[in-house]
Amino acid sequence: MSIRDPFLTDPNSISTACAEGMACVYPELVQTLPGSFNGRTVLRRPADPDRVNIIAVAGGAGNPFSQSFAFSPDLADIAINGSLYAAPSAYDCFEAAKYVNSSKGYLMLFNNFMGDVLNCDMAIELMALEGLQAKMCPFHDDCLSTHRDEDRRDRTGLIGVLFGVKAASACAKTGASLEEVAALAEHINDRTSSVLITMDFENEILHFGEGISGEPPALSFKNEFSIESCAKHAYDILIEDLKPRSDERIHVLINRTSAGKFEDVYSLAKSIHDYAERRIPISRMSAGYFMHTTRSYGLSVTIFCSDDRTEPYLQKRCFTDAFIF
Amino acid sequence: MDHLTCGQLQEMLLKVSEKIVTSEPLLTELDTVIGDGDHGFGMRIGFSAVAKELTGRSWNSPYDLLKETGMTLIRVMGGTSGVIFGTLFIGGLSSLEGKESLSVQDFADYIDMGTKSIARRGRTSRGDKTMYDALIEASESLLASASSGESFEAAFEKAYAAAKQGVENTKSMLSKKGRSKNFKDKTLGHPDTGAVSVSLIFEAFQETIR
Repeated sequence: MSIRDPFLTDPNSISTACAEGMACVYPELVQTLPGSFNGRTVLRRPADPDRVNIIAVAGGAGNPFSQSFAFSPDLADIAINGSLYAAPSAYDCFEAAKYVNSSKGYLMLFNNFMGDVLNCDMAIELMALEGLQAKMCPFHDDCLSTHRDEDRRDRTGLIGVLFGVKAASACAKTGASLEEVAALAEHINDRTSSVLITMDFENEILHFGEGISGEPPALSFKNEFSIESCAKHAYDILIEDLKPRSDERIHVLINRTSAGKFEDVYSLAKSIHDYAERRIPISRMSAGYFMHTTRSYGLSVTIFCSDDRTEPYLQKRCFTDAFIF
Repeated sequence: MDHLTCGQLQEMLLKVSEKIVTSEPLLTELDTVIGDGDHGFGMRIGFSAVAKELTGRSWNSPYDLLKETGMTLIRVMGGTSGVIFGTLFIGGLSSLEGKESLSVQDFADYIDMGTKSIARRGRTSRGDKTMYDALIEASESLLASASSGESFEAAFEKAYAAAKQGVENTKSMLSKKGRSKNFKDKTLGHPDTGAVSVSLIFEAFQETIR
């Protein structure tokens, strides 16, 4: 395991430092969980125990911080980071739920990786012992993380979870039950697909579907080294995967990797927009740096097919310290 | 020896912690080949915390001692390893309630329940190339030793040998779980890192009680 960040000397404490730093800068908006064992949990102020609370869970594989999800009142109520190289513990989720003590329960949303699934599964059992209800929704939007003939629920997640967090949060604020909020998130999960594009500059090759830990890409294209090719292939892969219905609207989310450049996200957004105009047009776009995916240079593209059931929950832009969605 | 006291159990767990912590470079190296390289780091964090919790304290019951061990792993480690290795120690706790010391049968039943809990929670079975492949061998060996009325010394020696065999078996398996499954046939010839950790645990048991 190599540590390349200049200030990163202890992968186990960086998440804690980040959470505490955010609470220090914006004390009127967020707080860390009092008495927390790991100190990596961020709660948005004020807590609302009278509705379903949305918990965003992230961490592991170098994926740092979902804490910005708890910054906006329109995203998560609670953001739980793992250490830099591991998903948050079941105990982190449990102690946050116990502190807020929601009477209507918790929905935990996260990328479909085994560590997150196992810990959230155990957290649900721990919460049940305290009389707290919880459900989980592991997002499986990384469409090239499995072979085409495999069950899409075996896919891992990339960044589609952001659509789930936003819609679930808006739905929870209507007073919906945990079952209703969870069903909405599952529906969004099934209609969301993402692809990660990474670049080999030396050999001018575009890679699609490289794993977030450097696993080999599913597809590679040589002699097509342009932003237009990124747009074309990403759009085609995702539309083929989702096969949008005529009543659905296309939402696009472009996320750069930590090594990717600011200007690339807008160049790619424009290229995808133009390419889609001649096919199934896009109704809404977001672009920026929302979540860590991989250390390689690149971008990810996510398409969510929204319908009348989900559209009302996705209208409002969410503003955080790190991005607008 | 036919019974384990709380003190002996504590000694075993401290030995496990020491062995896992000093094996971090080995575990990291193995996990870097077919995983994301974080197994050794996570195990070191978890078992360092266990050593800290256990050192200089005393327990009245194996139940409390093993619960503390399992819950510490779950609390501090996170990730897949935290839940799985935590479950190994807490999954069989209900079989130990009210016991002040443990017979070979008690210990075999406890490990058997933990093994079954891991299979259920991780939705894993023999042949998936996981830590379970070493654990099930060790667990079945312990149950066989208990049925034959063997001592702890003999039972742990055989369980360790069985765990090592389980590690060997994983070399010819294709990964079906976790991040290593993405490396597909590149995992052939390499042992599962979690299975190696299981063999280290049983090696420490065997080294403490002999």
